[in-house]
Amino acid sequence: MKPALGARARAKIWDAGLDAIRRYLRQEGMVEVSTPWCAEEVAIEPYIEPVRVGDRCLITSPELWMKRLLCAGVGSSFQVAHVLRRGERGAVHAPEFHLAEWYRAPGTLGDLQRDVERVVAEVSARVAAVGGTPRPIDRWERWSFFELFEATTGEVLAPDASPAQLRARTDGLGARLGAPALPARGPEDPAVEALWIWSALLSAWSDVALQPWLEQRRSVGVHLEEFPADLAALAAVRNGRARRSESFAFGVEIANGYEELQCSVEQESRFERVNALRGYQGAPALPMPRRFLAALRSGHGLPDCAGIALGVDRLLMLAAGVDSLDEVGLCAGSGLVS
Amino acid sequence: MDVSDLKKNVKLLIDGNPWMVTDFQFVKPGKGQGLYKCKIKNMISGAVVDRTWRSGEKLETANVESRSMQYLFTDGVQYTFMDSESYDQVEIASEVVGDDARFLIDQLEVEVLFFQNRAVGVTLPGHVVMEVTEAEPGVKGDTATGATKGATVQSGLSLQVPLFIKEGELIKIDTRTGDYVERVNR
Repeated sequence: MKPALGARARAKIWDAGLDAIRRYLRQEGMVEVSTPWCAEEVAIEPYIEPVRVGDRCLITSPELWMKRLLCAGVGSSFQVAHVLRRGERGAVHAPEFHLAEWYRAPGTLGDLQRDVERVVAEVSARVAAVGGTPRPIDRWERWSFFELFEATTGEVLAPDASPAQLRARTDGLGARLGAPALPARGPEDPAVEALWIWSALLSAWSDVALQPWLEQRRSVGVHLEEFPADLAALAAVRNGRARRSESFAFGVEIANGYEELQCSVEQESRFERVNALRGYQGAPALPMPRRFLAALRSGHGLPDCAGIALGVDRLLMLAAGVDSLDEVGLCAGSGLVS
Repeated sequence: MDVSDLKKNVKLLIDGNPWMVTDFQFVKPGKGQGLYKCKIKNMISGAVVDRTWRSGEKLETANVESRSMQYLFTDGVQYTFMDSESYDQVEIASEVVGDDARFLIDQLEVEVLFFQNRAVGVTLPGHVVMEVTEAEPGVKGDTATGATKGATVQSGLSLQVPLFIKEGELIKIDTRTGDYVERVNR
């Protein structure tokens, strides 16, 4: 077993990693910005819980503020932000972590995927130079959600599958991990029900089929794209597929990017759907991000752009050659947030 | 309780039975539902199964309490224990005590598990010290390492002991395996 990384070694890894990320993004013409970490509005997500501070939230991602800056004309930009997500604790989850988030205006998912590949390579090289033992990524592959579902399960999943069919798939996968069948009575609104079932299916598939598949070919980086439209979140939908990409390195998900949705009306109705799902699951509704939606409607609105958030802690964990965030975190296990 | 409050050693009520979470792993793909992957142990039968909950699910906790008690005696059907604090006596059926009966000796301190005010299990200390009541004679001069012989201790349990152990001596026994650990000086 390798000896644990000491405080100085960890500090050097963070210093090298953060510098590599910033250098790369600047060199690509992006400006570094800093937006409030204690904010009035956060994106309404079904399974991400913000930490509330009075009538504000600690951000779960800097996305809404960075998009407001894009609406205001700041152009391609990036930020390394502290984000907090209540209740997330595991080997590769922490309730407080760092997101490197960047926006290319204009930009595409393909641009973001290339960025991720280069950031992983640069960070790995820089961390290796200060004593890390990066895991090699030999090559990167792009898979659509539906292709990879078939490749990992041997079963074809139709994008227009009925709720009953999706439910059967979810329960079948769930049974393999000891999860009970989904409750018979789902959310009443069919659009909310679709979001609910697709989310449950994605989770069950990811754990039962995708993770083992990724772990068998750890040195291959994977970009998973073309998600079901119901899982678009804040991404644009084209030809019935969400323009969303998730990147995995060494079996660990490290980044999630979108070609961004520009329409405030569509965005508001998606947020409403998510709040309805939250209500169904007993989670409190989150306040509608009015200022963000207003920015989408103001002036020229959100420019044509693509943005992505990359988990810095996870990338440094991989670059350092360790298996949990606690082994590379500077203040790991401080227990300040739970 | 909410599934997000799950952690190791939490006691849950599932289908009327008390279960304890013995292993716990949180995973969350992308922006999807979190999964709480657990191993849970039936606190009555000891059966261990894998069970996964999804974020948003609600769970019922089991009211299980553990009390320190002293073993008193048995009539062969019931085992009588005494609460070390209140001196109340409790009778526990032999099915609940099960194989652990072979380690019960006068005044042994055990933890008795109560579920809905009913004794459902006995947890023994990791080791017990018992007197050897019968031992085959050792062969003088035989010092071969690992050589053993049969012996019986005061509870009636038979086990293998090293050749140097004599009747009347005290030995420490591992209650998980029933194996000899070491000789104990009086």
